[in-house]
Amino acid sequence: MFLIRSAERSRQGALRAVGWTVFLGLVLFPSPSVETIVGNVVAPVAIPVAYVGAWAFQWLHPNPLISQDKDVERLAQLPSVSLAEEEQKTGYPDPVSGLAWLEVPVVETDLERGRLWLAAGKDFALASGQAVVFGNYWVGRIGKVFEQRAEVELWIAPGARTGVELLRQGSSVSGVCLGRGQKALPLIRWIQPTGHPASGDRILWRASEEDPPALAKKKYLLGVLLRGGDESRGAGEWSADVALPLAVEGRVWVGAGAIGDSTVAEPSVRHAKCLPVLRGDAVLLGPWQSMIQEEPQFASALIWNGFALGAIKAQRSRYLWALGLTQEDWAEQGFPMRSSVTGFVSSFTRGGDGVPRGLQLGFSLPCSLEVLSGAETVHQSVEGEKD
Amino acid sequence: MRRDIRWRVALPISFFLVALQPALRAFPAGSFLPDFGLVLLFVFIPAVGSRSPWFPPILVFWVGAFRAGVSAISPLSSWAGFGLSILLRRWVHRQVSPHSFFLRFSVGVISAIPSTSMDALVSVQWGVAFPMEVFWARCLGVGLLWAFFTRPSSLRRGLSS
Repeated sequence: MFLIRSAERSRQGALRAVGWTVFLGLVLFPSPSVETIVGNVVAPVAIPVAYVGAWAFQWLHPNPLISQDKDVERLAQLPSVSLAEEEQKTGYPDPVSGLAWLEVPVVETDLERGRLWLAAGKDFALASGQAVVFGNYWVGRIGKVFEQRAEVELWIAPGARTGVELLRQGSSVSGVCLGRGQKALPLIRWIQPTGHPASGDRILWRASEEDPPALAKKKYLLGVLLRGGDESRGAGEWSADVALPLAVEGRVWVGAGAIGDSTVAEPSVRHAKCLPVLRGDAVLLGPWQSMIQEEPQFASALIWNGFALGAIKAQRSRYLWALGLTQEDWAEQGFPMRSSVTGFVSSFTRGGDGVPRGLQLGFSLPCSLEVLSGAETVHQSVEGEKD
Repeated sequence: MRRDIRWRVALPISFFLVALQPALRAFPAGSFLPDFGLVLLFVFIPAVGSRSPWFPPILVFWVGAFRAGVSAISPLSSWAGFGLSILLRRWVHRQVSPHSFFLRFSVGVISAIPSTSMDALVSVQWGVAFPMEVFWARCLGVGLLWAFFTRPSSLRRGLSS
């Protein structure tokens, strides 16, 4: 079909406009799958350029910018602490006869909705309704269970109802706690009419009829009772000052009557050795380092001896770019914890987006070539379903 | 493509100059240098009247791919920035006289803005600093090179093509 000249020009112009719009859309709102495909396409060209660039860098900057001695000094000042061990020490609950505590790491948190996502599911004998605790703290109950993932409904989740006991110097009153999410304090309602609660009473978990009798005897803390609202208008209400340890974002313990082969469900973290190529980015500012992985697999963080050196920002097949982040940069993903062994406060990655929880912070890019030679990439795979 | 002598010149020069860029950036004040990829594209692609319609997009593709080896920036972002810069240069170049140094300089600076903006945008997305003085220094650097090396006589001789 032949179009008249002006029509043909309009058609080409329209096609160009659509093409540019789609292209710019992909640039402004990057799609991981498109980026992966493009990265794999350009990798055979990009890797030789990187090696030539590294050679030129070595030629123009023969003296290393960072000395090995300095790195050793920095490392000597940092205590090596295992977050998992710290969490196990503080979080392992007292034994309950007829019940086994399954230790399950948390892979994702959604505190707005009052949900935790666990790194295990039916494969680890988890079932809906099982009790979830951390040390002597009540966390919630298992909700939906998938093959390799399970959801915990926290007691603070909006609409969650938990039977509670308000305890004060031996006397106790029963009530029901109503969760309202992270932003509002949970309410204590339907308090036994004969009771006289007071601010400062401890709020303890009360077992339901479905819980095992041995578990019902245990006292798990939810928080402390508070009196709020406008009393003069008759709108006073009882609420709970939440006592939920920060470490529940790391791992929790699930009470189960029947267990499988193992009682610890560590999430699968894939490691890959890698070699440093180029220090510094040709366009962007900041502590960038490019690395080549020995195996082509997805990577989320660059680590050395348990320390997070940087976050992987771009990956082109086996070729990847890591950006060194300071503790302030990790603020969203990191948190401090005082070690019960060393007494030092150490910071760790919070986990999520493929970065495993518990990588120690404090030693970051740029670092010496000797350290980089022993570096590896990690990625915590999150398998299973999620709504 | 093999018969075209431009490829035999443009590709190796682009390869080595783009590869040299991280080493030059590591020098003091190296971050203020203009982007080599963009400068090379401006040199090899004529502002108007390219002999082959495929030469500019294919060269943009190659320079973007080379750049992916020395920068974390996505090749898609590089291609978009380069493409927009070349289109803008073509349009601005047609509007002004090439006989004035200041006008040629303005054409270079304005044309460098899309590509540099793409780089700045990626920096913002990743939370990496990209100061305004670096942004303008890179644009002004491209403008200066464009003003010096594309005088009317060189345009007439077709050196830029």
